[in-house]
Amino acid sequence: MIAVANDIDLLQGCIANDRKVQKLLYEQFYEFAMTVAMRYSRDEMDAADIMSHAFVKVFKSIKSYDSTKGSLHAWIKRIVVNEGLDHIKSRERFSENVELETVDEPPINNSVLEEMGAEEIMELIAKLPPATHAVFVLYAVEGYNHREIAEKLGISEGTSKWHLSEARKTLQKQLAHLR
Amino acid sequence: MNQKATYEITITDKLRQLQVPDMRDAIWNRIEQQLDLDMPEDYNPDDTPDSPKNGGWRKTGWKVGPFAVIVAIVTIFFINKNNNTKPNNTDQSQPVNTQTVTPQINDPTSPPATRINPKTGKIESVTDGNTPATASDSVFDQQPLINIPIIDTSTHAPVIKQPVVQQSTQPPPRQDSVPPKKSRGVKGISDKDYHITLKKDSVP
Repeated sequence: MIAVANDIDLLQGCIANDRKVQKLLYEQFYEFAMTVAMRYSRDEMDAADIMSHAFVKVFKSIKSYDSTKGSLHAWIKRIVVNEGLDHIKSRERFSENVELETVDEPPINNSVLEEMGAEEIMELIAKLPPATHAVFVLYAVEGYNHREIAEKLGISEGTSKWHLSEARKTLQKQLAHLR
Repeated sequence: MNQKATYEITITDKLRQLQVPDMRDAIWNRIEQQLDLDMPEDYNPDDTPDSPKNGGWRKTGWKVGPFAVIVAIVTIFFINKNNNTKPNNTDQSQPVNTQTVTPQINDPTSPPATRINPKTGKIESVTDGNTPATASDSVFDQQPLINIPIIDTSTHAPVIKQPVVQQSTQPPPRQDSVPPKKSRGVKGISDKDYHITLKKDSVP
């Protein structure tokens, strides 16, 4: 059982480069951060890569964390998401040639999704092309709008909409096969 | 924030239930390895060495300062040593005066300085107070510096050179170098005994 340390103690220990305290912070945020990392990865090895890079960044830049601007959870999540997006970008460039004014909303059978397990849904999403995968997770799971996604990924809002439409169409087809 | 569709809410809920693989230790080993490379444990992020704001110069100064002081002391020592050895070399270039004179003074076998008293005709020592000792004699009698090869010339060099010059310019030879004259005649008979004077009763 891992003892839950006070965030302030953890921060001070991590700023002092105390390896034991750094590990304590890592242990405390492992499940939460790994859940986020897996949304942007194809498999466990991808997730492990994202996690290791993200936490190295966390410890290197923890001095810059400002508690008045948000919780430590939110700060670490932002770092893990950014690392996940960098990981996806390394696999595929985000094309600027495709844009949409409005996002298509094909009907998806929710009852099929509810019958599926978490791992099965994860596999469906992981099969999406990397850029489309990233936009779908950012929009449907993380809750970002197209403007925010465009800023994060360095693409236009129209391209973000196009990727979301492509994700929905692909998921609809795959769920139709499962029915 | 966007307006999520019903199926998107379902997906989000399902993903939250996702069991994360237990790769805790494996991932931490990678993180620790990278941290050991980038920021070893004895590295303190606050210690940016070149940052005056964090007192970087002061913190590194205590390491560099003593080293600089030692280097300065050693440098000054060698400079002084070189300055001392140069005049000694010049002194060694003139060893003839000092080395040839010194044995004469120190030689215990040399005969003592004497003279013949013209009144008594006896041999007397010159050191009996009637003949003052020369400056060179007094210096050589003291023998303060000649037997010490390396001496700080800034304070003692004039003392060494002075007697050498005076000794070389002194024209008459030392009395102790002149062998004492042998007294002629029979001891106890002086010239007075041979002096012929007219007596009153011998005058016609």
